[in-house]
Amino acid sequence: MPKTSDFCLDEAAEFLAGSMKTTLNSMFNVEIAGTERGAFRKLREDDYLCTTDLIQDGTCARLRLSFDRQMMQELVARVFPAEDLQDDSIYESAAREVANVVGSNLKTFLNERGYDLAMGIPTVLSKRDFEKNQASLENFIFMKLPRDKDVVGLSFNIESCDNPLQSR
Amino acid sequence: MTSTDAQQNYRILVVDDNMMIRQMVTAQLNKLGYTDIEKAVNGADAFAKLEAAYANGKPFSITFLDWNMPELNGFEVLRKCRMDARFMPMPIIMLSAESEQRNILQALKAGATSYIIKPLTPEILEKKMAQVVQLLAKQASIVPAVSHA
Repeated sequence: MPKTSDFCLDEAAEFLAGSMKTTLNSMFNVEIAGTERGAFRKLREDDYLCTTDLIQDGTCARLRLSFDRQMMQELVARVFPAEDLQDDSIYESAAREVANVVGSNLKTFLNERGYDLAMGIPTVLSKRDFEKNQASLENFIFMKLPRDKDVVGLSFNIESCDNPLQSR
Repeated sequence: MTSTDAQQNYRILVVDDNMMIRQMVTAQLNKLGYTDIEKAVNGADAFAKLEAAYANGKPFSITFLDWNMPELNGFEVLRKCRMDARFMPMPIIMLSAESEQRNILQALKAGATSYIIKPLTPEILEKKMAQVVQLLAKQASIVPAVSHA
């Protein structure tokens, strides 16, 4: 796997923010008002939290996504009738699908720059597992929807991956 | 939209490990008039449903197939179908977040009829369905009767 320094993390972060905007717009017809980098919104126990691993030679590019619970419920309600919203798993499915699309876009982006990554299957995690091995949220990018709350977060780290989540 | 007899005759299998996508594709197909739809949660489930439907004399006309799934992934299902005379002619639309050109080409070379990169929009689904229905009509005119016994 190429060294972390071989590609620009800023470039990847910018790409990820763009991919997230496009994905949410296509899936839920919603615009993201702005993005900001830094840990200014603590994760909550009831956030929908999701990770997906891009794996190569025992090393992971790990993408972490967080979704404000109320926001996710409002987004899903835009595209599904009320009778489909009774089952809470539909919101976790939505979070996993966003991670699937954004993660796959990231894989394409990195593989075009010399990597040969395979993507695992996105997994919903508890807050505790989500934060495991992540020293801080400094690299988190928070995104604001038009109602001007910090509601979508994403981070991306290259890290050792002795125990990848689920490989393809 | 009022469904035509032809639309009602098509049996569609939607394969995705993500429940939201299965629901979304089904709802969008319903809006286009396609109502005979079954769902599978992974590749192994899909292949079992394809075989059961064939054995019951009610084979699927079209399959929507995700790529990245547990147990048996979509690409493996695609290859199995294309090596199996029972499922060889069935249009298979890959519906996947996989967006690398080399992998899309690999799927098309392996026999995918069409490829949709997620996220899915109703417009793209309608366009792809129109193309596949046209293909099925052409197949039917070439082979007027196919035995599924």
